[in-house]
Amino acid sequence: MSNPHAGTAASSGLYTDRDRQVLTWQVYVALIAFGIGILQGLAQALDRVLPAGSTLWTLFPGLSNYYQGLTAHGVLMAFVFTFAFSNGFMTLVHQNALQRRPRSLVILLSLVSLGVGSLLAASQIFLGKASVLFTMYPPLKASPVYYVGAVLVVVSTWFTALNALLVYRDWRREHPTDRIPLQAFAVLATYAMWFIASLGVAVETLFLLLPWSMGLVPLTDPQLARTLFWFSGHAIVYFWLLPAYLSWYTMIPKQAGGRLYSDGLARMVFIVFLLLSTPAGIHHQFTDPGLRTDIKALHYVLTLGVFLPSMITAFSIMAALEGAGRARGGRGLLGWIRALPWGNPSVAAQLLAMIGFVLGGISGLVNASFTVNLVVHNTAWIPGHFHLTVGTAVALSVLGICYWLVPYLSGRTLWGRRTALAQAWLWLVGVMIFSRGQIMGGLEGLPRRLNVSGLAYDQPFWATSHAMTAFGGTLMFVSGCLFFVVIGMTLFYGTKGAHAPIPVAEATHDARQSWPVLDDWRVWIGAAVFLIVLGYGPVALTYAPHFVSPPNSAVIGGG
Amino acid sequence: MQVEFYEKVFLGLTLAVMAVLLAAVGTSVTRHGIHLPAPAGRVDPLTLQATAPWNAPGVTVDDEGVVQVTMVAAAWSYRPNQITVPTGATVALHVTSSDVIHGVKVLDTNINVMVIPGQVSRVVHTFDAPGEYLMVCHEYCGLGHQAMFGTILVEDGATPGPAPEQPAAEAGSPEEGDA
Repeated sequence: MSNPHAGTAASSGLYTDRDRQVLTWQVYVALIAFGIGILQGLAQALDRVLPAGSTLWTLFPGLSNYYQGLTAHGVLMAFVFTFAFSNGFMTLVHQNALQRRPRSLVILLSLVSLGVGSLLAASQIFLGKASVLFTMYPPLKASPVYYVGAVLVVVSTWFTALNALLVYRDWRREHPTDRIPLQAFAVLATYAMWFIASLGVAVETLFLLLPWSMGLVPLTDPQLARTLFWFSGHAIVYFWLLPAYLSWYTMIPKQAGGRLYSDGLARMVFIVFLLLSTPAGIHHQFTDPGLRTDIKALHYVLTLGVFLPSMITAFSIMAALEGAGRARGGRGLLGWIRALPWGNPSVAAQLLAMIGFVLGGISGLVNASFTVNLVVHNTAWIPGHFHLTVGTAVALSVLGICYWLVPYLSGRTLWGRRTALAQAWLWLVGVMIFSRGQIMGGLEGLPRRLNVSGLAYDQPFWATSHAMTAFGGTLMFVSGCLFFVVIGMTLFYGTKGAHAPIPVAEATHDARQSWPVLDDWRVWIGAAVFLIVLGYGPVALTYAPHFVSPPNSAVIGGG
Repeated sequence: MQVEFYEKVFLGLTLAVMAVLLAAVGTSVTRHGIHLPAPAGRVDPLTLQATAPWNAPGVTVDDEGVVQVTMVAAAWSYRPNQITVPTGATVALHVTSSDVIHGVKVLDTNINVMVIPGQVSRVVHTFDAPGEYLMVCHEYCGLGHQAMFGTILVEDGATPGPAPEQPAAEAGSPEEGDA
């Protein structure tokens, strides 16, 4: 390529029309899931302030009870929205960074797998045959079709990983001694981490849940199922987050008019996530009766290790942003913040997402802190925390990325800059109120995952929590609607001729100054597997499976 | 790889914060005796009605004065659902589930444990202050989850109760245990 990184998806020369449509539809499927997800979210927020025994549910299409909607919200947001966006966005970034065409069949299979899986899972949820929430803990039982759908949604990410690997191998053959471009490095680290981590939930679904749900085996082990789920279930948090990190590290500095601070530190951070994401899962099971305390302590220490890359990220991103703000004329200790391009909705949305992430990260430290977890485990604190992380750091970043990605894919310029800015600010204001409500409720003992309008033991001191959650959640829903106005108007009425390429930031300390060993996958994947053996080996050695079969569990699950 | 002065300072501070957090959490265990739930045995949920002590849920006091509570969680209540203990009593709570996964969280205490079919959950807590403590199921357990709760009444000089149920000769329905 004479002019690398040039042009939109259509003019870059990297894609056939069909490849481009396949990747575009990954992004659109993500946004459709997000759209249905926020509608469910509104219902759950309003449930907090409805009069007792309200039948609001009948107004929302296809929903007969609170937990059916909560399952839809969780599955559509946590699996479909995040996975589909990642399938599209990460592949586009990878192809662009390596300047190579994707494998057409592999990316098509990813889209088909995601689409079919989502439809199967969603159909069962809306038919009332899978009100098991996105954690699907047995012995709550869903129909077999639901589990098949869940597996296919995960398999779609494996096809994306396969495409990334094959394209990388081709590139490596032609560039045997080059450093991997940072964006492609981030994509590869993310999918290496996720492929390993996803094996837990894949094994759980294929070998425990599916045969049991089909009636082929009569028994299941609920404690083992939880352990396999959380093998993947903490790493999935970083699988959600790393596309946003990729944008913050390698795109935002460019969009803000500055440079990435250090290429080497960025690589190191992605490597640490590859190493530590998975052997931390048991901090979600601190209160489980079937797991030993010393193993829980080990996972606490490993979880704390993730604090390090998070703090390096805070430093690196702030350094890049300060550089950008000063280059734009910002003066004084904090004047550079005002000088950042707050009028650019893509940048503004992601800067606001970072603010949410600071609070989300700190609250996450509380969850992970061993004995402190007893105060907050399974209370409303938890959704308060993760609506700041996945619900803002990730979701609001994705919306911000879409403000350049949709023009890049469609060739149409963004419609409604001011509306987009209002959307971003409204989301942050909304989540601050929502999460504050959930966090205070959690500290006062309010359980999570609760149909509050039907609550048999409501307490007067939870009233403020309910009101804030309902109000903040409603603002987030309105913000989400504004996003769809902007994207819809862009697609149908945006002026043709958008030409901005994928943003790629240069680094002050570039790849030549970072350790070459960071690019040696054999070392890091080997180390990741070693740490998983260290973290989960003791579980495998001390936990003897205990298959039990409680009565009438399908009825209780609404299946 | 070049690491600048400010970066080193920042990394040093980060490591210091991590050390303080580890020390604080370690102290909570070693000096304040706060413990996470640990394995306390296994049961078969199908034969719960025929297995002691699960066939006679209720409250007893052992030789050392510890109030022993045997509790069965089932959709959507606990047996027993209302427990009375005297102020200052040390309570050892043993819970298991006869159907799906449940949870026990007692407000204003550190009692917070998952209740998983096949596993016995054990938590020990000393109730120093009198009052009525709300006990809630904090894991989604089906359509009636929001109705699953109980109470622990802590009163000066109260007699621990209720007494264990009489083991049923034949399997009874869970509703019979709700008092």
